[in-house]
Amino acid sequence: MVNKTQSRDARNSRDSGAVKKQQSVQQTSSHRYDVVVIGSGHNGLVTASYLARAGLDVLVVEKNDYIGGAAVSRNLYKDFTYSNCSYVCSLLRPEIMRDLELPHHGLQVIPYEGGAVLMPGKQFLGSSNNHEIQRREFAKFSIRDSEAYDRLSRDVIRQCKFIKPLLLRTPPDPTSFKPRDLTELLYLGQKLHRLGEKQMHETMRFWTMSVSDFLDEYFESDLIKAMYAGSAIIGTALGPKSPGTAYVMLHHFMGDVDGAVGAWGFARGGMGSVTKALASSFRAAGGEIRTGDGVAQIRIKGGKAVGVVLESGEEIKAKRVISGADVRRTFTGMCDPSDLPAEFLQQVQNYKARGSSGKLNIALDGLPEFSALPKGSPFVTGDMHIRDSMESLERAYDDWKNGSWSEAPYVDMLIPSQIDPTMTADGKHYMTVFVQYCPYKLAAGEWTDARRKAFGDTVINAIAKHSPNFKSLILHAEVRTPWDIEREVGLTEGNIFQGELTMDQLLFNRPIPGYAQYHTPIDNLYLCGSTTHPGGGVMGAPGANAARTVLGDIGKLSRSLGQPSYRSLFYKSHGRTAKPIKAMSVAGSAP
Amino acid sequence: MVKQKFDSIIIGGGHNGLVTAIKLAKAGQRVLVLEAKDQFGGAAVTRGLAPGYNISAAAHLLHLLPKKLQRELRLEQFGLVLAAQNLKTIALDLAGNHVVFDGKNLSGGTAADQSHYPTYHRDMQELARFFAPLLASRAPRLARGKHEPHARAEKLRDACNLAMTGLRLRLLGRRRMRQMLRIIGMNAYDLVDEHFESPLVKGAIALDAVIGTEFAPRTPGTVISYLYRLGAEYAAGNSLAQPQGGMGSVSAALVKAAEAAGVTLKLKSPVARILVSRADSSQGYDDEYAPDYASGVVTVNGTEYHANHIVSNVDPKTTVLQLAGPQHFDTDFVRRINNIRMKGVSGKLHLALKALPEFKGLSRLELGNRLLIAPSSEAIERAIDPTKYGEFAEQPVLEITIPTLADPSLAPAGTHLLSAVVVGIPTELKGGWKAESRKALLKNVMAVLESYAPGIGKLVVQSELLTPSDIAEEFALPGGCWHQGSLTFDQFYFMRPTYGASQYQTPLKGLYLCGAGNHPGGGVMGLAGYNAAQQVLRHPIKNQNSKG
Repeated sequence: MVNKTQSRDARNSRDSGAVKKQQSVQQTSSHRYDVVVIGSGHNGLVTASYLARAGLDVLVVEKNDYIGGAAVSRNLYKDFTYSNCSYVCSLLRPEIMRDLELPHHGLQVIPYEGGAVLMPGKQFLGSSNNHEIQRREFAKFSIRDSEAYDRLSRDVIRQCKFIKPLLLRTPPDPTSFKPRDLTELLYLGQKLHRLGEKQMHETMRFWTMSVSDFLDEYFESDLIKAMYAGSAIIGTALGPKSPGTAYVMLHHFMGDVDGAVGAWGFARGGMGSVTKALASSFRAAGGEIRTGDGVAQIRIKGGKAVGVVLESGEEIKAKRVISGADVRRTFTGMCDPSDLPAEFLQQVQNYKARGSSGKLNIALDGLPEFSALPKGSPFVTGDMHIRDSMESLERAYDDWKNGSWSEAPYVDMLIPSQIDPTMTADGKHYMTVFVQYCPYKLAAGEWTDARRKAFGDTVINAIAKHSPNFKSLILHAEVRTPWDIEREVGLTEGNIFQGELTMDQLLFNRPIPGYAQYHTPIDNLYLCGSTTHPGGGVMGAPGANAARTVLGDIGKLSRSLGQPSYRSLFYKSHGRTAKPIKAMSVAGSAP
Repeated sequence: MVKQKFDSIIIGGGHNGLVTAIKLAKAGQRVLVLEAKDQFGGAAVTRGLAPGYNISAAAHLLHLLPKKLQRELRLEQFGLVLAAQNLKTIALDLAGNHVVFDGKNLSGGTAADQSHYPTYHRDMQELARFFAPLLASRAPRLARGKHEPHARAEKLRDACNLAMTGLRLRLLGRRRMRQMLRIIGMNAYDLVDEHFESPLVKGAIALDAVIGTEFAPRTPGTVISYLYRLGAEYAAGNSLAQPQGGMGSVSAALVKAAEAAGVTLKLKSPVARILVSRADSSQGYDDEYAPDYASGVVTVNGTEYHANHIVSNVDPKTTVLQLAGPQHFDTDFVRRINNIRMKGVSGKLHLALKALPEFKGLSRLELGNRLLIAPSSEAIERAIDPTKYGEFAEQPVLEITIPTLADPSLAPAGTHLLSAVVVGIPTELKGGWKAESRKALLKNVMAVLESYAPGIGKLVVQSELLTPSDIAEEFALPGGCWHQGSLTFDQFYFMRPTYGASQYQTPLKGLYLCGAGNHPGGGVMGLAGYNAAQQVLRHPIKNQNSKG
């Protein structure tokens, strides 16, 4: 339990501003924080902010010279701002935005309207947030599919509605007999049961199907299927024919921008603005961030975490340590194996995090023209893809399995500078290109500069086929492979979700069965990254859930952060849940 | 037109259909089995390959038929003799350093693998023990409409079933329960990778997980098909066996048991369609809301048979969409049935051999076991990957038996038979199957065999390679899928074949399903038929005309 007077002191010191802060930095060697958070990624900052707001004395340590983890805006070439890891925003939970007052701290998310799939021979399939426009686009290829689109939107939104409330809940431990776990299991069971026979089974099928089979039940056009399948494979080491990918697709649909379901947008100023706002919110609550010095080791004494040792050798004492790193990095990289139970350590080593995505950040001298799209088309403002068939997606996956990048990669490219002028100088543009698949380790050996260049050229050539003036506009291109992402951001094997989103690593299995509730076998050591439920994306939910767990442990859980009440368990409210769902629009192709 | 009245009619005389027929007849019903071909048994048959050579044409090993069911049906008394039991599984190595799986023991592989295998085996057997009873009972329905007939009793039965399953899951203990909840969502590639070092050991286990399915080891959900297989094997006493006279003798014993129980059996009677009538006021229905019900069948040659229960051993898709007709079901159900995935990527190779082939590093005695050519899990992956695009494997993966070692009666004296499951053949070849493509495929398969058994090519008297589409045609298994529906999570347990028909009963009154397309699925297991019979018996016949 936190000493009450001490936390009141912390609150006082916050009020009196910067002067006191200065003192506390000098005292660090003897100062004992309530909480030290490892890593200033978005989840780490969300946890830290919630805890600081509850009056705890929180320090965030970051190994890089800049904060943000994988949600960063960086200047790597002249005055171009790159969102050089994550690049679009949608999943960030609105509850967190409100609680932490992120708009007040400068976060502004601008939705984009739509995108397009570019095809060989001046054809394109547009995607749009507008349901009617989307239907028209589909009708270009198949009238039947444009009708099936209504059915798909309805069904996908149903799945989103089911899963959204689960994001901000701690998953139950099905092996436990604690009242909390039993009620939570009952809640889940009842929630499922209330869906009724048809919807319950459809939900279970949806969770376990491959996206290819799922889309086959709706569409006939291979192109339209390929357009949706893209969002189901992003970041995962699975192909569109692998069961479980339909769920990954959902992971890209359940976000919203300003209440527009399934919409995606750009954070003004790049994705770094998300973490910048979080950091600002955190600092306003009295928190402290230290950059440029990573954690070398988590100090464990008698089975309890007591602080961290930084790479510089400095030791920081804390009552609780919360790691924003993934479970493998936390336990195999920062802990002494002898402090961990052998079985747990083995499970950590078996945790699947596989790098499967690459990224190109390109500075452009002007707006490229796409031969398929008319100039000034609204579809250029959103996510553009190059793809022709489901088979090519699956074949790209097979290439990845064999340890090479595909000659015909799946490409998700956006030019955010069209909407957000703060990213580049006038007339210049910034393009972000996400590439699926790119292996962490090549069959031919390690990544070298030459191989990285070859990979980048493959992608650039693929784009240049659709944009005649693209190559001539390139001023600078940064090529990032999973290997680079691991080295820079600290994501194991460069997996963008801090671990595969497969059934064996979801819900109560994430990250390790028995440790899905943000606790670890070490007392006072917690996890708060995407490696925990509900997983990756710039969502913030794992961070908020971890904060709730910590506050619950020290008895400071405020009502607003608590799990939604269990009253619904005991008072039937069929009327509320049985409301018919109107066909709503889902953003055509969420990246 | 001839009309004949029965209590139950079974469409299709596969092993599941025969099991259902026996169970129903024993309960006092008058039962008719209609088989389209000139032989009973479906995919458990022995047929000629070349003069004097008789081969188990589809299934070639008996390892899933539960001991309890064998005893209940008294198959031994009806002539089922096992030529060999407790066969070992041998994973072949090119250099002759084979890996042998014998119960809980492993020989070959690395020292670490050998010491770990008994623990792994015990863990998996624990999980198999959990699965076994699930297979022998109908899957519960998680929800049902308030106004369905018998709803209260059925609801209670399902609730008890679910509660028991939950309790048994808990009784596994915390560690095993966690282990299971994790691995059922995994892929076989990762599972074997977590436990073993030797590629041969990994390959052999991964093959067990994917054989008969359409998926490669890296596909999530392949562990569930592995556990399903282990569960069924557990119920069958964990004995790989080879019946005397090939798999056809299992069916022959079932036919004898059926005859003894008083079942009317008819061969060469393909059913053209299921007759559907509408209930009328005499049955207490308001004309406007009277339900349709299945009242009989008509064969291709025009004979009509009438019965209260029509039980189809044919796969659910064909039964609903072709035999009964989609007009009798609601559109949503038809859509779901239509979406059932049936895909097989395994073919069957049959070789009549002049003499016993020699495999590197194997004695004559060892040759009678189940031999696997699956050098690693990657090799299986590479064999199955091309099937996604309608191509066949360069180097297919094989499961081989040489049945003549234990049962010389299958071939002329001194000669031998080789039967192999060939993994890595697409359901539909791009461009269709032509003589050349068949030849190219056979060449690939023989090249693999030749590398392990040099000189085998010269011993071949007659060869036959059944592709999945041949299997589809010969055994009426659409897509060449052994299980009448792929064994994946979304087509498993209470979702098999689809919700609304998961308890062997279709929404069309009086029409039941008893084939492998239902829980618990395929292989020569007989449990789908057994469970279906129990479900039929829950619904008493209203118009009393049974003998009992």
